[in-house]
Amino acid sequence: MATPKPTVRKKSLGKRILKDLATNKYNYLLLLPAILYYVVFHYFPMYGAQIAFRDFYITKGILGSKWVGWKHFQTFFNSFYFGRLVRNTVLLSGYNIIFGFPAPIILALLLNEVRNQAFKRTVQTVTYLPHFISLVVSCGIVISFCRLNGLFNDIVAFFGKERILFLEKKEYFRTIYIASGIWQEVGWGSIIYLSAISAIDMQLYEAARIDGANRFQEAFHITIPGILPTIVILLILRVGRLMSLGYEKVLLLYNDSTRETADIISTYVYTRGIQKGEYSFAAAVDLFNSVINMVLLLSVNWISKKVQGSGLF
Amino acid sequence: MKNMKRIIALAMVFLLLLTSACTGNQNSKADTSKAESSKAESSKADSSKADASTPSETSTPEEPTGPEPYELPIVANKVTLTMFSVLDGKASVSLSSMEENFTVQYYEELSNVHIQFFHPSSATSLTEALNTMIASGEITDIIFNIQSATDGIDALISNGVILRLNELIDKWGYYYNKVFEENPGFKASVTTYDGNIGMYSTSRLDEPTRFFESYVVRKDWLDTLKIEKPTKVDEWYDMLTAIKTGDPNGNGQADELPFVSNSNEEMGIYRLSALFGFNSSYYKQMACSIFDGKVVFASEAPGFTDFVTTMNKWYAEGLLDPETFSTDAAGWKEKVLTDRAGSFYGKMNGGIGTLLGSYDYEKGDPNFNLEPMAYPITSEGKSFDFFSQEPCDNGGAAISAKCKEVEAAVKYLDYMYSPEGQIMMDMGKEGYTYEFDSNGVAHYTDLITKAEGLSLVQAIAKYCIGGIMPRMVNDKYYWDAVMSYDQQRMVYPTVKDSTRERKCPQSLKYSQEEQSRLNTLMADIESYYKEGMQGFVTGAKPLSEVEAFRAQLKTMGLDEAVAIMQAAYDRYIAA
Repeated sequence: MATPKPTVRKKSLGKRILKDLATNKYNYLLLLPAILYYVVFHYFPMYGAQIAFRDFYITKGILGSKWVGWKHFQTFFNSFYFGRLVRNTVLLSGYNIIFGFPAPIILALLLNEVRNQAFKRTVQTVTYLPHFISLVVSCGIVISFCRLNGLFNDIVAFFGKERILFLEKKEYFRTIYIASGIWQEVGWGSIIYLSAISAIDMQLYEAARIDGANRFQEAFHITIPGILPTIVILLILRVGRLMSLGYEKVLLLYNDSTRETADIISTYVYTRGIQKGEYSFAAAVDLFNSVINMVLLLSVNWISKKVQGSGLF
Repeated sequence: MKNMKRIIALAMVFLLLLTSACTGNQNSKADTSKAESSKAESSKADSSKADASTPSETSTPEEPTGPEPYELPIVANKVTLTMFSVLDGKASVSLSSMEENFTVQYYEELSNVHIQFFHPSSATSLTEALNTMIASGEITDIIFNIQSATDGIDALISNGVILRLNELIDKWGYYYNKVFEENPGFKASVTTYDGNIGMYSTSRLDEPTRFFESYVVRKDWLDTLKIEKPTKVDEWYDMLTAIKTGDPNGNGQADELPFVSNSNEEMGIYRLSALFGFNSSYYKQMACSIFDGKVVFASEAPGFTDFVTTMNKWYAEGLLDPETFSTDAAGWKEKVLTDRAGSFYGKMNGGIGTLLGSYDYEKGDPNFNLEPMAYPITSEGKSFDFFSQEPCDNGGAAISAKCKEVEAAVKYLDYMYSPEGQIMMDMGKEGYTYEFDSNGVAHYTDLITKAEGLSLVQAIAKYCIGGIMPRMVNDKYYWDAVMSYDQQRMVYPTVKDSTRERKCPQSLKYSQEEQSRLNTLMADIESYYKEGMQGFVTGAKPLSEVEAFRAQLKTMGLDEAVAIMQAAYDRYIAA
């Protein structure tokens, strides 16, 4: 049962690395800034994640603080707000994917059908623009529009309805959050799909037209399948960040009245960790969050591979 | 595929190398910092030994204890100290750093101490800025607002970040020591759980300076409606209803908002619980009051159900601003200045003074007038004050353990408590920025009162350190000089007679373990409490759930938290 020996013995690992470095040195040089970025900003900070298992005091430093094991995780799991935070994060992010993710695809498909170039460009510019407004300013705009004497309430009042306290009603928070998100990002998000569409072979369309396909059939049978890989990859990435909604926008839009639907894990980490200085506790919460994110990313990727035959990695 | 493997292997090696290099670094850094802190400790031990020996050497039979008085300059040759201090918004209008401030320069001339300022960015919270500075190990000689650091004073001292000042004050702090002697209880309230004095506390030594907030009402509306300022809960209700229905702004619509929240609900609706004899504002001693020596959280106070029920009723009847829980400073000012707000809770200068100054009398109501109202008399026949300040603030300035010119730093802060120092910090230089009138009252000169393009407080902040950091005493000269309107002066006489027997002291001292347990417990309690209050007042939660709300707070550990506060309060009383 002796396996035949390879005729050429492999060189040692070190030698192979050196050889590879020598042959591809410019490629590695190009890669270096990106590697450095990840090491400095993503790998090195992991060293600090250990404070989640310690009682961190600034004055004692990371190594000088006491180990406390799972204490902070237990505090979080037993916290009154644990369930609500997870639910709010998943719901807000989930709705954001359900409503926010298809919006730029739809816009791209619609723009693709527009033949008047001047009109197309105008629409594109108008929809990109909000992307360049800083979040603080755009949230300020949203807040003043939603006030009792704001634009939306003026419209409501014009139709003879009672003015509504949009910002103080917890049931409106998610709608405001997601609708304003779509408004701000739909144009920007559609760029990548438009470029994917432009890569589709025009012959396919010609063939379809000869076969008598109408515009809808072209869109459903050529355009959408053509950009499906792009959609899937973006969707995997998006689901991988399901739990990591940025805290900034929620923080700018919520108040005590809407916290019941608006408080998410990242805002909780921000208020407890950065504002109140409970670094260890906040680190534990965020670490838990990252673990969930990783599990989600891996499982979506696995599903995608099973179903579609290709994934992110 | 083979290529891929090779690349991955390479990347792993690279990473390993890097992380090991990084951690190696970290270790050596930690080692040096450990060495440094032990050095600091030993030097501290030395200095305390020296302190112990000095009294026996220097003290004479005539003067058994206490530091020596001293004169300016503080040091013979100029020294430079670094200082962490907030650049107030009032000053940043005209200055990029406090080094450009006239009084800072004048004090430098007199004292020979040059201050190099480090102002944290206004975008980060003070806690964040201080924590970052402490973590970096590069700490300024003098640190203002040290109370905002996450680690308490005791931890900062025992870990060698700041100096224990007890012995240093005995040695050099003549004027601060005098404050201790003249204000019984002051020393106890600046001494921590472990018996340390960690900072020079900013203070309000003259009684009137401890009162600068009150309920405020549109007095001209009350005159129009022919009603008096209310003193009892029923009269409050009548007044608010009259404002709502009597159309005092005369535009034919019932658009008046009888009571509005100020910059946020903490400066608004939560202040109304004084009508029911307890404190519900979380920003003030975590919504606690003292009932017969017992610390009581708002939800357990006898008047709580009444308060919530009444507020719910008032909100439903439109007596409270619908935006009570989502307001901000700009919204509040707009409501007052456009003749819609009838009353609010506000500050003497930032509220009454600013609003009277910025109202447009030509376009609006020429009779526009805001006046303070006294704290109401509750059903128990007393009126309670929960919101006035104490002689000693929570905040102050500490001295870094790495400071090389400790004597200069101590005296630089200490001199600000001297009578000359107090007036200099707030008023500047006599004959230039202020003058005494024939009655001996200090007034700012035209340089400040007529400064081009600046409001009074902004001009003061450009030339003096009145009302901003870094000064230690909020003194009566400044207090007097910034009040432009009689209505501002009415605040103190209006609110001073209320009893403070139920006011929880603001300077309770906790051990490190107590403090961290309290923080953990109260973090969730605070949000639950505020959300519940909001729900009950606006009607989003039915009032029948008040009992369940109380019970839930208890299961979240309220009793344990209150017990910690109670222990601290008992120690405070015993001291």
